[in-house]
Amino acid sequence: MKFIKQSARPNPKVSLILLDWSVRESFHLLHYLSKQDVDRELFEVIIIEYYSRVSDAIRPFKDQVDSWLLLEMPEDCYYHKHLMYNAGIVAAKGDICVICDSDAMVRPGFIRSIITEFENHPNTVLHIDQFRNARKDLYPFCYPDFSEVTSRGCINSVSGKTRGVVDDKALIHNRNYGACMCARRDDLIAIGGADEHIDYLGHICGPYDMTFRLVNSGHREIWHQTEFMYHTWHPGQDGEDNYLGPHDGRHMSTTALDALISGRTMPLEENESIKNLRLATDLAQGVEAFRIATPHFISWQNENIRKGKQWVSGNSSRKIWHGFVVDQTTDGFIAYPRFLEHPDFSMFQGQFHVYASTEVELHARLIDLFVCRWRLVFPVVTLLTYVSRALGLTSLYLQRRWGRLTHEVYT
Amino acid sequence: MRLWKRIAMRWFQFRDEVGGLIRGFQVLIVNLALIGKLRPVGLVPITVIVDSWREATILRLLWITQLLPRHKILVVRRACDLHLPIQSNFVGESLLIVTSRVFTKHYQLLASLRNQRRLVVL
Repeated sequence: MKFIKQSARPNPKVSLILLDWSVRESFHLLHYLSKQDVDRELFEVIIIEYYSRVSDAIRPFKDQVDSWLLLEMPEDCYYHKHLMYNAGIVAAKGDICVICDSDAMVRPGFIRSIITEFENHPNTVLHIDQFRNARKDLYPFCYPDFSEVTSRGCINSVSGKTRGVVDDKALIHNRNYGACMCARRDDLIAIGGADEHIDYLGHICGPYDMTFRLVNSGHREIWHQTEFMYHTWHPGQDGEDNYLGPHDGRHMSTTALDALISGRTMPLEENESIKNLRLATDLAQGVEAFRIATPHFISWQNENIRKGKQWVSGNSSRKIWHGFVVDQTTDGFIAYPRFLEHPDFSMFQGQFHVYASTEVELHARLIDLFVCRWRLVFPVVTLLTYVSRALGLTSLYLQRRWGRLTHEVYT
Repeated sequence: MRLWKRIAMRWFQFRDEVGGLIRGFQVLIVNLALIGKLRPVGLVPITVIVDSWREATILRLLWITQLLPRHKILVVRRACDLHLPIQSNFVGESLLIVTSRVFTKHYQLLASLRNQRRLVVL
């Protein structure tokens, strides 16, 4: 770990954490941060580089960077953004941590909006959505006007707002959870920081892991309705050819979704430095105290990822299988329907418990005992679902075609 | 990309999506059926939240054919269909049952109910 630059700002309110893993071609967010309408002392900029590269893209904006840290991870280790989030949280001096894209544009009121939002709603986690423009003529970044980004080529602009903020049908996939997430540093430390579990290795990751756990711990999630970020196209923006951890088919981590569903607040793998801060066992403040767990250097190695061994370490003793909770015990496996976990059903604990020595045997027993009687119903349900979804998609397709023919914009 | 490749890709996408819907719905059916076995013992009324009219219709068909006990069904396709945060006494004292897919879709509305211990996420 090596510092290129260390922050000298005494009391910033906001700490912006920007990441790089030797891939970023442009850090133009720094240009827009230099044009903010608040006192520069109110915010600090922290750059975390995963490997050892001293990026040339940062040099033109070096005066805007307060802390610049190289984690110096070995070149044969795959990138893990959550480790960088944790380094940023430890290094941050501000009350509010902002994890955001470093290649996006922001308006002059960006920092002011964040500060105001936290003054008005202290117990929140704030997200700021992003306009995305797919025009390739804006690459390499040429400092377009904001209106240019939100007009021709913009894929998610609806009446001056982003589709994610306007649409309330599929929030998780329409909103850009990775664009900008803001939370109080103390809150982030209280939930154990970002999860360093191997499931978040590579492209399937994001600050939403912390958002979901903050929601589980009682914080309110807010999406800013008037402040946005602006992103223009660049190669590799969708994580092409990147390693992907478990996701739901639309690049949302299923491990993070499981945390949301189960109400979990702590990470599966907590960073030691964050833990020390949380338990106040280590009084040494600052990123000098940041520690990277030694096993990560092995399990995140490209060689081991190629072997496909990462899923072994991802196994846990508790699994969900077809609506049943499967727990591994010293004697074997035990399964019970998921609703029994609810306190209202606690009196029925044991009534539906199924035991087996192996997981395969347990699955077979569960099918025999509970699922078998639905053998005739399930094919009918399957058929109905296929037919109705096919009809629904056909109708959607025809509506879009009709919209194009009549020159209407279909949203 | 060749046409047959595009068709194959779309088909796999459709198959995976519908497969996920079916698995989630099967989980709901199995759990509701098992809860039905406990009904005589006497439980609080149950409300099932689904996110499509298709699922609601199938659940009603299963109720008509007496394969599942009768429960109240709420269809929440958009967040605006349900104003949970402003309804402290939402659907009275009944216990709400949702699949994990519906929960993640509307978690901002439903998380507060979970804190009231009135929500079962399958």
